[in-house]
Amino acid sequence: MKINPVYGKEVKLRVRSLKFAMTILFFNLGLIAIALLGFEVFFNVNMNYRIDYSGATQVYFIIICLEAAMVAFLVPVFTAGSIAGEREKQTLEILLTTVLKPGQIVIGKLMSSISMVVLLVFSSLPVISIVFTIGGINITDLMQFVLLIIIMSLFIGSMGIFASALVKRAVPATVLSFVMVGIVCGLTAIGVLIANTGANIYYYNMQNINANIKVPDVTWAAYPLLINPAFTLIDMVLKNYGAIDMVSKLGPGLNGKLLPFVEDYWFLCSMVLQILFTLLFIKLAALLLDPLRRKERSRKVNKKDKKEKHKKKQAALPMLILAVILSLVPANTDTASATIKTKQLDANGQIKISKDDITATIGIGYKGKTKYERYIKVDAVIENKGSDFTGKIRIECSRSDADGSVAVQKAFAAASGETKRVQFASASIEPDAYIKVSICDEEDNVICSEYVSTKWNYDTILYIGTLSDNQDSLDYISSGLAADKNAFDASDDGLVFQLGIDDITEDYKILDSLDIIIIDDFDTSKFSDIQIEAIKAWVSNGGTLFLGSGADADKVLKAFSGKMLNGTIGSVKQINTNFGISRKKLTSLLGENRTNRRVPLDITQISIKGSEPVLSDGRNNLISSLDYDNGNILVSEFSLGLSSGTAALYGPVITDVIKNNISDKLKSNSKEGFNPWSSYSNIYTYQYEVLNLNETDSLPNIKLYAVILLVYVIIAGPVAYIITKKKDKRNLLWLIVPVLSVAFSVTIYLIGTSTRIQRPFINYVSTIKLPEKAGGKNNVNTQFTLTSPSNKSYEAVLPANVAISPAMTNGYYYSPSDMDSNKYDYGVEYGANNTKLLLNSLAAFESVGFEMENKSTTKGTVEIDVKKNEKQISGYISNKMSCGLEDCIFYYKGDMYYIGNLPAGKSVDISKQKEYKESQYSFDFESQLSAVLGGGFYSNDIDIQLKRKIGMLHTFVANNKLYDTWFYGFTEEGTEAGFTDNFSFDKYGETGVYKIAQVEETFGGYDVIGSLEQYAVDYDSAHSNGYYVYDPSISNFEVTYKFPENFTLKRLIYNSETAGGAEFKIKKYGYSEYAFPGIAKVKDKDTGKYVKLLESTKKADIKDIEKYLEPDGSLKIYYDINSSVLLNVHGPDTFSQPTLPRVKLAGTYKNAKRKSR
Amino acid sequence: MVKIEKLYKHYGKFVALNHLDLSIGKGELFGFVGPNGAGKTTTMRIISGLLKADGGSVHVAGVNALKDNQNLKRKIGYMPDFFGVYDNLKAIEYMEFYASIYGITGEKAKSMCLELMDLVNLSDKADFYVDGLSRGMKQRLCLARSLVHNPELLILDEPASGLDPRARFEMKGILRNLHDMGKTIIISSHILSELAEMCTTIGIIDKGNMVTKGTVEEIMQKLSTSTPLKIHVTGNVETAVRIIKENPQVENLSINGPDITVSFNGVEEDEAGLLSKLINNDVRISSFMRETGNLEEVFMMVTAKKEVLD
Repeated sequence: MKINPVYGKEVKLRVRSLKFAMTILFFNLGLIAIALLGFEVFFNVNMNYRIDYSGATQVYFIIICLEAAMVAFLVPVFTAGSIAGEREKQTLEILLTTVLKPGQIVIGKLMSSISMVVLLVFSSLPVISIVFTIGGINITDLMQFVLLIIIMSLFIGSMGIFASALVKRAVPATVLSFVMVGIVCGLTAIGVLIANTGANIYYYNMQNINANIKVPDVTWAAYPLLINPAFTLIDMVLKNYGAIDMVSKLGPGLNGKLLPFVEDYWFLCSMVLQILFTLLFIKLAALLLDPLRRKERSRKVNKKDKKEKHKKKQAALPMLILAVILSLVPANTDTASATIKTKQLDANGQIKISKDDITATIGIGYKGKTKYERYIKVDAVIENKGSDFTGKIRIECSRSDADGSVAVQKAFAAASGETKRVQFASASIEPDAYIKVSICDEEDNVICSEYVSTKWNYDTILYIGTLSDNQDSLDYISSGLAADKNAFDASDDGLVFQLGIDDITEDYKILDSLDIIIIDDFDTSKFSDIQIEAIKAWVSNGGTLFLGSGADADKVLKAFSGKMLNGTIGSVKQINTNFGISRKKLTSLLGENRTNRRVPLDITQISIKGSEPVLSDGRNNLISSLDYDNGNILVSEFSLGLSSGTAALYGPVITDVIKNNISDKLKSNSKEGFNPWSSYSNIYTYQYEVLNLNETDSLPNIKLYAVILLVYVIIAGPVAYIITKKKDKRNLLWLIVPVLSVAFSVTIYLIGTSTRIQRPFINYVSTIKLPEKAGGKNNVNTQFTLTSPSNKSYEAVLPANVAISPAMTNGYYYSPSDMDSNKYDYGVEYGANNTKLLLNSLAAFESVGFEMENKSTTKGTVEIDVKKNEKQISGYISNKMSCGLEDCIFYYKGDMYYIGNLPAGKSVDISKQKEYKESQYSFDFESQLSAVLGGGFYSNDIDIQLKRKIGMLHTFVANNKLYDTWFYGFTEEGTEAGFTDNFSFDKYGETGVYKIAQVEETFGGYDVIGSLEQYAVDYDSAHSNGYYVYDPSISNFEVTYKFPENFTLKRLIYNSETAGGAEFKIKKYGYSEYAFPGIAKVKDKDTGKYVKLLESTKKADIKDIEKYLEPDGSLKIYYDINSSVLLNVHGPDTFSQPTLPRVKLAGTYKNAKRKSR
Repeated sequence: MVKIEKLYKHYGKFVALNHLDLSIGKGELFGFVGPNGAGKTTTMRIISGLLKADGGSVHVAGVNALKDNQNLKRKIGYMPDFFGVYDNLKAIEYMEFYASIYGITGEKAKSMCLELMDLVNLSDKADFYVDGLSRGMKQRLCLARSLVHNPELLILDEPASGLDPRARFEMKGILRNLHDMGKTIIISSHILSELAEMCTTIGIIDKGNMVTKGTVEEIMQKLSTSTPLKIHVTGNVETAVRIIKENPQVENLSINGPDITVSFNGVEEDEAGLLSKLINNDVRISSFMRETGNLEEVFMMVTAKKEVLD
């Protein structure tokens, strides 16, 4: 191939001077400094508490963006001077009398002008290759960047050449070429800005006139961005980061549709368009140079007119291209408006979507209602009136951690004429968020979809599912049934949803939104074993199952017998009962004078192992409760379907029982803040951090690469120059530099293979909640993240019966536009024969969360037999598991006992374990745990396994604030006790086991039941939740405390120990995050006057507390809050969080002793 | 070799070439003379394909110069009046660059370029940077450069301008050599005498028109008829003036006392006739002669006359 003579001469000239070698040297030295500094910052284990592999891609992006910026600034300078320079030097004319055609001159000049810039970019490949030591960017990505830079250089260069040919002198030509680059990059962007602003102004103005108005679609304004190299670069970078639709991120006016081809192949379109414009500018420049065609420049008359005419002619082509593109736009946009329309679910919480012969009626949640941080029930009925169809029902929710969406989908096959029902649970979404429901074909293409908005509640409103042959008889249950009627969003009523037997499927998560399931007057033998298992799993997970019996107890109870319940069913008898309730109590429940006349009732005497009575009328036990894992089971001896008369009178009694016996899990969800640890409310932070703790044992050796890169730049720069100069072959530098560059890039790539992450990996934390007593295999709950070193899509196929789902999201408000039309970021597909994790559109090293449950290989439990009196703690903890445990901790009311290794079958004496009192650590859990385990989560110098454990403990504590006694340990390394599913990816993680324990504590011979806040029942939620004081400006208020049934309070102790250090810290440590500021008073029954019970920072031991109790055993305390003492505690202008006092409550049980919780 | 017919070119209202006709034969060393702005450069640039003509035709070695630009460029070597060089190239590289434009590369190019440089007496400067060469050397280098593709026609626009006498002398020698080698050369200058020494043919252009064209001798001959007769009359001036005015070959006359200057377009025989008539009519004459003057003066007169007639 003949080399363009102009190009040949110019490149020869350029390598002549030492400047060439020095440019390569210093340019690359600069980049090396940036790259190494970046790697040092991101991958030095002594500087980071955790390593984020995506640092490599960030360094990569910084370098490529710098290089692109360099191109944008240098290329106009080089090119604009090239032809104008020849003209100034009077060499152009000679060239024009040679056989060189003007086009050849232009091309030669363009090529030679960008050659140096392109060579610089090329010479930096070894520096860029350092990203391969970690991964995240693959060779294709790098090639794409090189292509982008070359085409961008040509495009910008062609504008420079055009300016150079148009304007006679070099300086104005340079100015003109920058103006042109400015127009291409700036004006296109400003165009978008103006169009979007205009659309928004129109929208806000018209909104007052017409509420239904949408933001006008100005998506067409994005098309000019195709010739904006900066935008295309950003788009490319962001696509490496996993963002999909860059254009729609530009503003609400640009949410419409681009041409599908342009949207899918933005990069390609941009490249092609840039090449077309490059050719155009080259052609124009050649025309300007051609002396025989440039007649307008040699004439003086009409010069201006002609010039303009000429210009217009030349500008016609790009205008034509744009016009063609724009003319195609409206045809495509009228179907998609700028703002995505959402539909409302109908009264049954359903939406109908259809395309051709397929219609799906999809129910979301329970009658359209969903709960925060709970799984959403999806229940679709698909009618197929056409030929056989295989497809998927998909639910997409926006992500909380990034733009985009998460999908959960279930495959189905509907034969011709068939109606199919598909149910599954989707991970939870945001309050008031939008859900996209779709029918997809087998290839995952959406064939029809709709956006719907959902209704949502906190756990403070109870969701009750009822299953009965006589459903309406249970309606009374909801009345007054709020989990916490003091909570800010609570209504007095719960929500009752009538269930059918088909609503219970093998996936218990479908029931997750329900807090209570009542089964009454229903033949449970109709349940399959799978359904019973699902109910069991639901209860285990925190549900409250309420079984009614009555005359036909077998009908309801038998299916659960031996599976969840053990006991005997006695004979039926008819009684007359007042449900054990006094008239006064009835009045207090119903708010007016009620007669507690006895009503007839059929009861079956039922005895259930392990249960405790929760309602009796003195003669007969009416309702019993049985704790079952995280949940509980209530069994009534009568049918809950009360007659309307009985329901009107005693319905509230039943409701009250339910309210007082909801599961601990629900209690903790619905009523937070009993414990100072609620400062750890952000469970997700630790969970996220732990799941993103990446391995650090094979990180690249930065020093090695620093040496390699320095050797490279010295060889490619000065050394190559000196050698070629000696041999007078400096032209070879154009070859030597790229060859060296490729050789060193390959070297770095190959050396980097040892540390490069080449396939997806998993970080997991598994937890096993140990059962009360050893049973079968334990359940493992695993949270894990999947991280890929690539931004390409991939999937993981697992056996069909895997209980896996995307992790719950919690974050911000997202609009439908955050969800891309056709591509969710990641998700799960439940198929007939497998479960797939679908990783669709994620940035390299962007981890996404999943959660799953499976059976552990471990069996057994840890037995805890620990007691405490006012002097000491004593007893034994025994590992009765099939595997050894390590880093075991026992926690009791703020103090920790470090047990360390606890081999299988071994017991330890708790009194001989090292004790870490919270008071030694300023009542700071973090530093206490740090002392116990030998490091904090955010320390840089501890190993990753330990860090993972610390993070898991933090998460555990934040999740279990309600419990003041627990055991936590980790399965021995190599046990493979937890997360064992056969992923083909590398797995890194820990398995923690825990047990919520109970320690019988006595004080002065009395039983200790805990502190006041656990028993707060009546308070004004405007300024307190029973523990925190929200509004300290309200200085006086009253809180009623109701203690367990049968318990009589005898002593109330208040000192630094009971206070958890809070208010006493002010004196001792000089600071406090929480403190009780003021005086607590009780009413003297005799005098009717308030007397001081206790005072901030002053020890108290009230031995005659009983005399201040109300007739029903409850205690009313009046607080005088003086918040001024909390000012400046932490320093000037600071304010501590005021709380109510924490005390020790000691007393006696009247009858059968009930354990406190 | 070159045939120009009715060549027309205007810059706005200014007519640069007014239907110029010119033909130059093969092997001629044609001197193109005219005052500044007469249209020399315009003509040469049009012949070289650097400028578009507004009318007429130009053929160079059978190639239509106004249409077939690419072929034209193979036929001609052009050296403009003002030109630059690439500073950081050596003389030989400079040559090689232009050789490469014509597809001549490598050793072949090098030996050819050295040959050409030898031709222009620059063979010892091959490894000098162009930038460091003197004006004359640059001029010669540029000349050598214009020869790389062995053109049939060389067009040199004022090659001697700005050169010192020695450089001019050298340049003349080189051009003579080239002429001897059979090249057709067009060389422009506003100094007639400079060209007269070496050119085979000379054309004078003024205001876009060829005033005259021919061999140096023919031109001298033609020009001499245009020089005035100077007559010094010692008496009877009135009679002398009357007789002179009666002569139909007299175009103009001026009287300054006894001196009469006559524009007379007759040959020597006619001069003798006029003289004898004056003497026969008793006009006493002490001096009767054609003004001889140098070429430049003649040239000035020719162009000046034209101006008067206009």
